[in-house]
Amino acid sequence: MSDPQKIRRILVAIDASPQSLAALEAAAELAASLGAELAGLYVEDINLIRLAALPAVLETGGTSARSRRLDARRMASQLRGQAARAAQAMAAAAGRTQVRWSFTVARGSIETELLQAAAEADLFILGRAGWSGKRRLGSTARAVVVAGPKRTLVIERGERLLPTLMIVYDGSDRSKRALDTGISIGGYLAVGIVAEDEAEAKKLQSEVAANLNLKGLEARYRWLVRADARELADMVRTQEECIVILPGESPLLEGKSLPEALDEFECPVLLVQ
Amino acid sequence: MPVKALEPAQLCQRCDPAQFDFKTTEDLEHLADFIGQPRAIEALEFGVGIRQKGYNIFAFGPEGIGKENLVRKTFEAAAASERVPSDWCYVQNFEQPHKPRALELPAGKGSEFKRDMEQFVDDLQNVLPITFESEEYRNRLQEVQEALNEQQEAALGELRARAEQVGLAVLRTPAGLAIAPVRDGEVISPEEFQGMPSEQREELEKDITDLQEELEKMLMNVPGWQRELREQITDLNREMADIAVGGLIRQLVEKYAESSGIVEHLEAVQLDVVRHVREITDEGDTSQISDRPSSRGPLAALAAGGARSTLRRYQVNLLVDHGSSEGAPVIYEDNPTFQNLLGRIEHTTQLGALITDFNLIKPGALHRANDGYLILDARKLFQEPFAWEGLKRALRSEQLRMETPGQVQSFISTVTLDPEPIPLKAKVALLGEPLLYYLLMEHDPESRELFRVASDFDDQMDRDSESQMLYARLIGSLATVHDLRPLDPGGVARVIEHSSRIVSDGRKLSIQMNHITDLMREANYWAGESGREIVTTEDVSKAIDAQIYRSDRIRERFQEQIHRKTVLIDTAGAQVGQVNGLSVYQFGDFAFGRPSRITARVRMGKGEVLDIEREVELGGPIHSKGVLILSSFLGSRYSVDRQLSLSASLVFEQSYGGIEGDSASSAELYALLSSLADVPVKQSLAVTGSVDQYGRVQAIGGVNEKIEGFFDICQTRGLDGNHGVLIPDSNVQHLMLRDDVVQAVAEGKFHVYPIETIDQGIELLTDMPAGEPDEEGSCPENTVNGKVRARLAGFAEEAESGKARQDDDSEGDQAEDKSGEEKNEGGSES
Repeated sequence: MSDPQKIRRILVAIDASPQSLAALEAAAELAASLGAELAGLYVEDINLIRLAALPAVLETGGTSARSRRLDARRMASQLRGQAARAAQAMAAAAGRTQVRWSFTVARGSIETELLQAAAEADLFILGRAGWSGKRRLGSTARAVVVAGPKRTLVIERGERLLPTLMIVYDGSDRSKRALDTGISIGGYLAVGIVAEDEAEAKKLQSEVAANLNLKGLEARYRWLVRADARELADMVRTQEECIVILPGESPLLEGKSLPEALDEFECPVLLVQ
Repeated sequence: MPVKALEPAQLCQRCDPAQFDFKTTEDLEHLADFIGQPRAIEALEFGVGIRQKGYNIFAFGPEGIGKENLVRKTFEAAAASERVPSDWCYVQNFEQPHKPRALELPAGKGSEFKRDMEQFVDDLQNVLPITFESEEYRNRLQEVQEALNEQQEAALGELRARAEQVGLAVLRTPAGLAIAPVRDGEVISPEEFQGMPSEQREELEKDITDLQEELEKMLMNVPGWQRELREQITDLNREMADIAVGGLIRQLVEKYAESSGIVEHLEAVQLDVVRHVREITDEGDTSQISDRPSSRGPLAALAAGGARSTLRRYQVNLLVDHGSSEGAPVIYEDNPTFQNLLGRIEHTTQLGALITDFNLIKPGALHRANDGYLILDARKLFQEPFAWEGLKRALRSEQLRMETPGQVQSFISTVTLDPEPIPLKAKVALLGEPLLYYLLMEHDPESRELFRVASDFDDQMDRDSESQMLYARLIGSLATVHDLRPLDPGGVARVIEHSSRIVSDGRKLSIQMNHITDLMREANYWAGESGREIVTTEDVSKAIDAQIYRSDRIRERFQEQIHRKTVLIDTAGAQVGQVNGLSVYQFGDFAFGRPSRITARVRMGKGEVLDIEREVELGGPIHSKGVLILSSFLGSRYSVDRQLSLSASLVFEQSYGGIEGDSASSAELYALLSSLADVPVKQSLAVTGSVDQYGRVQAIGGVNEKIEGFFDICQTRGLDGNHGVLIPDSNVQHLMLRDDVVQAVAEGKFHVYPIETIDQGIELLTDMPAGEPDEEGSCPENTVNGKVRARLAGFAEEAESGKARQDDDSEGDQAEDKSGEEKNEGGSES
């Protein structure tokens, strides 16, 4: 009865930045459509607490470019303020979408705390960008993606998840899990068959089709013969509102680190390990 | 030699139906031309032909004479062969938006240009989004944005690397960035920091300070970089827009290459589109171009309004469209207000404020009549505030400049426009009554400069057999035009007779078309009532009688007063010093005559004739003049060698209103003579006519009404063959008397006497010879003149002997009675 691929608990990391709030909105919608529980997590960065404890530390304003003294009391109040805003946003998003939710504040190293919490969740959602507002993967996201929780969805601000799911399938176990994940999320399915040659692609396609047939589902197929991540990214760019479900290891990623590969995509990417 | 009464034929200039050789007016050729207005027509043709400034036309004449019709026909005839004027448009002036530009285009091209620009706006809304969603644009935009990110990243990366070298890290704090000493990726603890050797610690602190300064510098550059980014994006947008719009504009420039104004405008449009590309595309998708958060609600609506108003600027306001015109325009503006003449600038409200733009400029009659003809009613024009001054300003400057009356008077200071003036070249005709024209020329010198052509419409024309035939054709044409039954020759003849009666002259015909047309409409009605298909004499007579009856109430009331002896008028017997005078009353269009009892009393005095009417200020100046002439006549005729020692008083009995005119002066003189000579005057006769210093009787107005007025009284009391009226001989040509009067004369029951001199009149009135003076000036004893002379000599002797004594004269006395009020008019003299 219990399906290991079913998504029951979604973890979303919130730090009150616009990116993370966007991730929260998307997570709440997804949780509502899957009937999953939404767990919010705010991490008080242990490094900042330590920093504030040092004598004579200055903080330079991001907008004003003015330096001012930083002490433990001010830092603590700033962090509390962020956590409170995160909790507020969480309550509001969950209220709108009518999902079960919880919110936790943890203290420690951000990456450690996130990965630890992610291990207990079926899906981990985080915002893509870093503080600079650029489109590339932020430092925190980079570290988390590399460490590889079971399923990680990286989204950009403002995106809505009304998806066509583009599942990348190469016959590996990870890609089978990716397919199962896609099926459990539901929606219009498209399968990108990654293969060395056309014969193999044909074989893989019939494999997927057979699998889907059992569940009474249908999908569109695209062959990605000897393709790389950029080709896939170009292909999905022409489609509106698409989530790419990508196995954590794939011939597509050959010669590239996972974060580099993720930078190619403009759409949300769900990594499956 | 006794005066002979007039023959019946002399009493009315009949029109003989037998002279017409048609059956009904349907057989007659249509009369397209106007008759009887050669002077006005020549003036109009001159006015149309002459092209110099200021030769506008003032056509004046009585109301209903057909001025508008004739002016319009003359204008239309000229306009048909003239070139169709240009179309005019207003377009946005991108440099000075409050001064819209005027563009001239060949006739019909205006609407084409307007359509082309509408298409352009449409295309713009399609082409711009396509351009800004293109792969090319998105990639280039990303390039620009990435470049900035990389710049920032590089700067920060460099800082991070330098920090790393000395064991430091750049950390993000909730409000900014901070530099911290780290070990193995973790900030060192305060204990460890404190535990460091002081030298190492100081070095670390120095490094931190240095890096902090660098960090500050770097962050200070960020706004500059962002501005640079925005500028680059703007440049990119312009470049792309230029490419997108350039093609559209080029097509139009090729099409309208002949008009430099349009080409100039199109170039300005291109520049403006490129400058405002954000506002235009904002109407659609904003995310591609601006970083603004997508807005909903009232602000979004406002933004959309902004885009619409941006696009409005590329529209064309086609002010004057001659696309379907043939020849030059002929415009009659029925309601010549300032704005209807010179155009107006409308306003709309936006968020409670009044705003306007060139699209809200509306043309006036002068715009529509430019290079053509405009007809205006002068009286209406003068009644409209500012309209006359506005028209003159436009004609003088030969420019159509749009100003609101409020602006002209500086009443209003709402935001408004100052559109580029349009050159004006129009021929304007004002229509009005003569009085308006004369007053205008007298009091407004400027109007003389601007309306140099006077077209003077006559209200009558000569009557002869040729013009009667022409008139018959006119009647036929009127019947056709107004969809009336045709007239037979008898009907036509009756209309012609009435036409003469309207102008009170048997040798003239009225060309006041409204009166004739009214009569024909009414005759047509009566013909219909009698079930006739052709209008006959009977119908026309019935129409005339009905017209009279409808306006007749007051006349009837006056006559009733006389019959009931409330007002005393004697029509039989003889009285000393009492004469029946005749006066004309006018109420609106309807005039009628009525007798008045004029009495005179004399005594010895200082040679003055007292006009009681004047003493009580009921007599007008002309009446007084007539009376003064009498005393001069008396003095010079009867008292050449002696002082005129007479005191006489004259009065219109039972007259309670003003009296004007000198048509009663002969009657007054007869009363005086009768009183002086103590000879009774026959009351069966009535008198009209003015008199000069030599005793000659002169023509008066309203002769027909006067005769008929007395005739009606006598007829009611019973005509006995003695009744009659004395009229000036020179008025015989004006006689157009009613049928029943003519009939009575023919039967010898009534007489009309043409009088040339006072002596002729007094003989008729008294049946006593007037008496020819001999060489010494004295007259036979048993004549009127002899008796007068003797009486005056008696007065003079009495005065000279110094025994002047107030003495009553013996004469007939009068009964007095009261009466209703009245208004008396003697009519104007010919």
